[in-house]
Amino acid sequence: MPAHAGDKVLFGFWVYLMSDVVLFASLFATHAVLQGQTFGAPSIAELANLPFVLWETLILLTSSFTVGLTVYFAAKKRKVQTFLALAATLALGAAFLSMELYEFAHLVKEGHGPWANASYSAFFTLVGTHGLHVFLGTVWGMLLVVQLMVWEAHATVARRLMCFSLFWHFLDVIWIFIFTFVYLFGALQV
Amino acid sequence: MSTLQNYSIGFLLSIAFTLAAFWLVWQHVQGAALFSAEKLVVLLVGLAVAQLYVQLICFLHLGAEKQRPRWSLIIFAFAAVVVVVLVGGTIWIMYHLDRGHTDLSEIYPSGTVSPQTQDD
Repeated sequence: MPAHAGDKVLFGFWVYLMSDVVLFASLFATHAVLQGQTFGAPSIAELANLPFVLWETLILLTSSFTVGLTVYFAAKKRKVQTFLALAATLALGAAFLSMELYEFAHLVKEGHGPWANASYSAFFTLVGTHGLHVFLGTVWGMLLVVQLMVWEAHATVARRLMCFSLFWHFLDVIWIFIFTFVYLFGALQV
Repeated sequence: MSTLQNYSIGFLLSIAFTLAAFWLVWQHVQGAALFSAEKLVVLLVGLAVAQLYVQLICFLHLGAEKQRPRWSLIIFAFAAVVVVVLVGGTIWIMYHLDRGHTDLSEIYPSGTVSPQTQDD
């Protein structure tokens, strides 16, 4: 949310984020429709490891908390704490990505890749697109770490960190719906 | 309420909702079902919406703009309308098509067989 009245950049970024929400909505709709179309194969939810997904969820959630801390410390101009909070966010993001990559690699190795049937295609597209967002966000975050360390233009870096935090929070919000509607619903065979 | 308290409460509530959702499903899957699958679906949606709300307020500070009108809130509300129409509408239409509630000839008057194509 715009921290300063009239901050057009933050508002523009927020509008972009809302368009990204609509993108994910279309992927969710597609997944909902194609869920049962496994051509006889087990559903992804049947193949998934719930405790593993729970850890992914808690890791991403914690990173959403630490990015909040990042913005909090940036507003207070505490450079070291900002750096630490941002580093923690990125480390957790990387951990989430590793877990997800492992999950995908395992599914593909067992022959349950996105090309196997419509349901798997929808799953990999939805969860994969979210993962791609997390990856790009992590790259962006690393660039911000560099800017934080070498640059003195505090207001600009703080505003970019604010945009980054909005992006990161939004990714966790999307994940709430992924773990609920893809994994948990799937486990109930809804 | 300070920003730090806001983030902390949001974080703790989100953890609680997440653990509750996973625990309920885990119970069900292990056979020790506390609720029927139908009730569980409602509960899970409720928990997801609750966590969404908590994260929107505590993390994204939705509605906290000082200036009026609250443009970011307005844009969010519009996006929400689009999402409801898109997801709800898609599921509604596809469900009806799947169940045969819609006579395909109403949508495809010429029939559903693909026209013969010439080989190049």
